[in-house]
Amino acid sequence: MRRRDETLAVDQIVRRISIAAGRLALGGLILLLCSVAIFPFYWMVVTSIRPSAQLFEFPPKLLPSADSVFSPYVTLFETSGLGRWLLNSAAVSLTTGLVATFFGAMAAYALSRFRFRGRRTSEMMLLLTQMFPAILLALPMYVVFARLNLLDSLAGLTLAYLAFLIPVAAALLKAFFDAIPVELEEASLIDGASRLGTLFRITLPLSLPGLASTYMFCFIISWDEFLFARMFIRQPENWTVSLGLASFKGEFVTPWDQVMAAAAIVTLPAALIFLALQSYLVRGLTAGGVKG
Amino acid sequence: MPKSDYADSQDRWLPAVMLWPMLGAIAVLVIAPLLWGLRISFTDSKMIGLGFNIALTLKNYNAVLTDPDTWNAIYVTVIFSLGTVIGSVTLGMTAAIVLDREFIGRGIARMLIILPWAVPHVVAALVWQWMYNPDFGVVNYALALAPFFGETPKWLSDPDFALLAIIIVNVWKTYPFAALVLLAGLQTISDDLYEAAAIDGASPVRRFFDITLPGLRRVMAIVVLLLLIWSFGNFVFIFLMTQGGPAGATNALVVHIYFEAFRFFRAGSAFAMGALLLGMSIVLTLIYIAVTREPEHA
Amino acid sequence: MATALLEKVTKRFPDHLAVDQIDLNIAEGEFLVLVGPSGCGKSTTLRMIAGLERATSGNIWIGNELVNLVSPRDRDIAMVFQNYALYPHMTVLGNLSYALRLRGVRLVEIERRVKQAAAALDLSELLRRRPAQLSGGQRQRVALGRAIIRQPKLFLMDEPLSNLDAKLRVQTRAEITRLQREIGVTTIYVTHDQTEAMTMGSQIVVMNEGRIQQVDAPRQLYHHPANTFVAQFVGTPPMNLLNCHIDLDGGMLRGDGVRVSFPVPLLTALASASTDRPLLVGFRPEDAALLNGSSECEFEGSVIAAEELGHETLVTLENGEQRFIVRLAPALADRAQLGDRVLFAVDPEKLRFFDTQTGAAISVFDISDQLSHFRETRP
Repeated sequence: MRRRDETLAVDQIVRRISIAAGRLALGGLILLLCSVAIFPFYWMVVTSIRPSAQLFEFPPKLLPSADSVFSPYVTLFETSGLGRWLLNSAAVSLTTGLVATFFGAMAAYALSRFRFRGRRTSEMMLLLTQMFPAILLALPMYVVFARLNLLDSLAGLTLAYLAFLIPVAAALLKAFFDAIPVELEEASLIDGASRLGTLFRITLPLSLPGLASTYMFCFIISWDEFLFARMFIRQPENWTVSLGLASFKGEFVTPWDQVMAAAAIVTLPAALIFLALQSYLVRGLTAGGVKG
Repeated sequence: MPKSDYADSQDRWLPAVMLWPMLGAIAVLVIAPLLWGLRISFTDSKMIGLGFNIALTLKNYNAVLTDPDTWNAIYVTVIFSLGTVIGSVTLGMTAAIVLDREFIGRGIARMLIILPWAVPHVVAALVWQWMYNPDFGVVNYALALAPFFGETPKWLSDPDFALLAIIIVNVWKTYPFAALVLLAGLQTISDDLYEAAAIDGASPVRRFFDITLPGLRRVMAIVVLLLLIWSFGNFVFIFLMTQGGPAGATNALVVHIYFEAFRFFRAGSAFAMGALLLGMSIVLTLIYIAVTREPEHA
Repeated sequence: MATALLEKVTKRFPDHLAVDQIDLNIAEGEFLVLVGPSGCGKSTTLRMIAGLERATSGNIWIGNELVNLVSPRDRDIAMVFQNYALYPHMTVLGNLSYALRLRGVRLVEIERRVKQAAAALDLSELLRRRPAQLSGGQRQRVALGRAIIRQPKLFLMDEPLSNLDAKLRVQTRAEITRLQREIGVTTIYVTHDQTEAMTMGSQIVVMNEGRIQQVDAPRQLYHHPANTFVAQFVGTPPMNLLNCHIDLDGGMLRGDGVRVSFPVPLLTALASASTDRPLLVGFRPEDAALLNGSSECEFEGSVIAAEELGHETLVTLENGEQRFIVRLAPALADRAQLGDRVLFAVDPEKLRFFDTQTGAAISVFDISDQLSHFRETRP
């Protein structure tokens, strides 16, 4: 009897220790994962505010220096084309988002609500165009755009982005429309609205979050894009932020403090939008893959 | 276009009107150029965008398939993609399991872990390049602090380490996606299953292998395929960080094609390699479609 | 208010035939219930009347108008959906007035009608709320309100009660019947619940596998089912059906547990009406009474289960391959203990006969005449 009590007590202690160890391990793991994720961001910001003279020191200082400078964030706009690039990118991304969401929504609605011949084929095409490596589109498109005199223009770049973003927008929005009960539209049809009336009075108001998310998603994809921009755009005054940032990298010496400051500025809008969208993006990108 | 089942008179023409802009865009901006590119792959086109003299030839394919550089590029692409998938899924799975638990500050941890996904590719390339700097970079600083570590590698300029370095960047950039999708998958597995297994006496490790992994099979397949497809097409990291070098160590197919077209002005063979890449992508995409269309097993 | 007429209406989906050549005549002001198991085509039929599905062939008339190609919005009908389909981004007021606004009804008139409908359905306090802020029962009432405010030619209801809990369902059942009677609008109501059908419908259409099995008033449907499907679909527990064969020489119907003495002319009539000699004899569980001694119409079996429901006891009996259920008053239930062999008598007039092969009812119209005649002449 006493023997059993003792084993029980020992058991209890072992259990408590293992629970505590598990908690500790979990805590450590969380900390590790978080630091892996955010250290590069931290390093970007720390580098950007470090006086240029201290950049090439070894060992590097892990904490911001006492004499941190914030001047790169201002001078960048004067000494480089950053302001111009931001405007270019904003123009391209805002337009792409708008047009892709508009046409994507139309296609998505048709695919979500109507049964017609060629529906499966259309959906297949939609998926295929998203899956090709960008270079497969970019190279031949370059040839075509050269003929059409669309190279080295932001309008041409926007058109190129639309080629792969309209299908993406359609896929994201189809998942969204599919989630709106068909009965709402049927009720509206019976109540006396036409199909288009129903679309504008019922379906679209209910899909506003989806439309907004799709718009922002297309925005950040365009904001982030590099390959097409690199191939299609030559003149520095037409550069987007991706090209501008990449151009900082000098052949021999790179002004890392300025690069990092510019990088931070470029990251900010994209990161904010991304965080706002994350749960929706998982659903959209793996539509059909994960239930619920 | 609609066969029947139109409830409203507008349903007769509406689907067609709604679809054609997208189908038109795909036809004009995607399919037509693709076909044209395929056509060019059978010509002697040199400078991309200019014409060609010999209308039909298999020379490009012959040259491309016998060129060791092509096979090196395919090898690099495969290693890069597989390395990314393995790293990203491992890290993503760890993060998903951690985030699936209840703890204080879970929302914040979740947000922080997702951040790398949000950073633009160019920014990621630049920041990591700075961190990899062999003389002043923080990575080598960390390695120097670690015991038993001899000479620190020169990372991006070292043929033995360059590909690994870029895979690490790509893993860092893509694992949040894997984590989020796997987390969503984990949350669809019913708690009842775990409780039933626990009552049946299964240890946590067994429960992971008997319930968690089988439950994630489909989601896992999707994550792996998407990561493969994306890594296949990844251009920015390699182009900005190593330009395919040193000595071709990171010369993935995408980068190889780009230089073939824009540096060596052999558009014909660039398109021939493009056709190769297209073939591989289509195979992956078809597998992806098969996996996502497969009905949910009970 | 209008009549509705379906002529040989068929709906073929790519993979199956949902509705197969049905004819239906719905009188003005009628409360018609379409009932049947899931997948029987009742909802498809309703949706074709609404115009949400096109009939593959056949004609649909509402009033005097052929509506085959008319859009739902021009059919002047109102529909209540199973999940209510309330517009989530509109208030109750918005939901109620949506159809009127679309039709350009004057504001004053809209206000008057909303007030009236809201008062009738006890929604006046809720007009500013959104559907998400309402209880299930309240949502259901808004859905009803949205229909009655229209004053349409037809009300269509697609299982409107199936999302309510049992108690509320019974209340609302009465509420809908009352409303329909007050307004007098022709109503077509779809349900899979035969109790709902029996309590609400003035006419009931029983459907199965895309075909109409029987159209009749509830009582007629219960007592004179047109075939075995209806006999077993309507009533809980369903009608008992037992195999038996005609013994002309003995003047009896015999089967496992079945002993029914019948006059020979009647037996001959039965025999000639059924395609083969064996046939099915049916009776309702409540029509069997415990028997002491003997009767001209006996059913026998051993008790294999007894379910006490408080006000009654359902006893299941078995004899050979056959089973049947009888409904007993609790006081009598003690006499049918598990394993007992028990004898029951059924009034011969309550017996129904069905063809074994087709399942169709064998109607021997003068069965009661024959029986009374037989009784009088018997010594």
